[in-house]
Amino acid sequence: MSNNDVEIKDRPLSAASLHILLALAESNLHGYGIMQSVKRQSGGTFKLGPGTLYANLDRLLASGLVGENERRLPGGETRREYRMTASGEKALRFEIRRLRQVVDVARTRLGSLDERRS
Amino acid sequence: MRIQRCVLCTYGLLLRMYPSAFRKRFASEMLELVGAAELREWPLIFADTSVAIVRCWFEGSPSTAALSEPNAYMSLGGSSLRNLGLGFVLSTAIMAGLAYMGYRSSPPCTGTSPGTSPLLTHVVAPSEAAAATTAAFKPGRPQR
Repeated sequence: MSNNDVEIKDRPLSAASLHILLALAESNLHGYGIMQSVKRQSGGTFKLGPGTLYANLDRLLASGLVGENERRLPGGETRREYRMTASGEKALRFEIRRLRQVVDVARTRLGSLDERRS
Repeated sequence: MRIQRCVLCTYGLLLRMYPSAFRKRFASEMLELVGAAELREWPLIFADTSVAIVRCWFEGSPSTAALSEPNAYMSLGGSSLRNLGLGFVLSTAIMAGLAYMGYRSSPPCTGTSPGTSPLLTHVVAPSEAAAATTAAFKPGRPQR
């Protein structure tokens, strides 16, 4: 197991980073696209402001979970797009597995609470 | 349109408070993003960016320095002194905001003229006071 795997397994992703990676799992996006995608995928309950978005992108880029590409637009302008890397995909899978465990425990405990009440 | 230009200008000034490396890398994208936002989203955007700037200075940004460890993850520890400083700055900002809101919502001053101010008491002349006291202690009247 590499050092990167240990790092990914031992530390949970922040909520903003998780949402950004989930958005980038669908397609490569620019900043505004990520904001819109996060809003859509959370049903409008999680809104990312530009400050939080770019602070998290900065960290995700530095830790190699997200990469960036320059895309040339028809008018000659360039736009920076972000993409999820292989490490990012691995981190996202670990995080989802961890969250599933939490949900399983919560379901069991809340279920037994309901049984005791009824 | 004019308001939007003013807000974008103010937001541009706010972005100047980021560390220069972060600003060079992301400021133009952030401005673009704010330009596309709706009017009702601007207060949230300003608040979010202000908090992010404070966090960027306290926690450091990977754009400003090569970090020894990746920090895309939720911080579980960190320097207690830094956290204390961050807590102090944030709580001061929150207290200042609450104090300002309290100041804005307090009732307006009603004036200081003696005829209108409810805080000023009526000055009683000595003879008037003596007559009132005599009336109150008339013999035969039960006293409490």
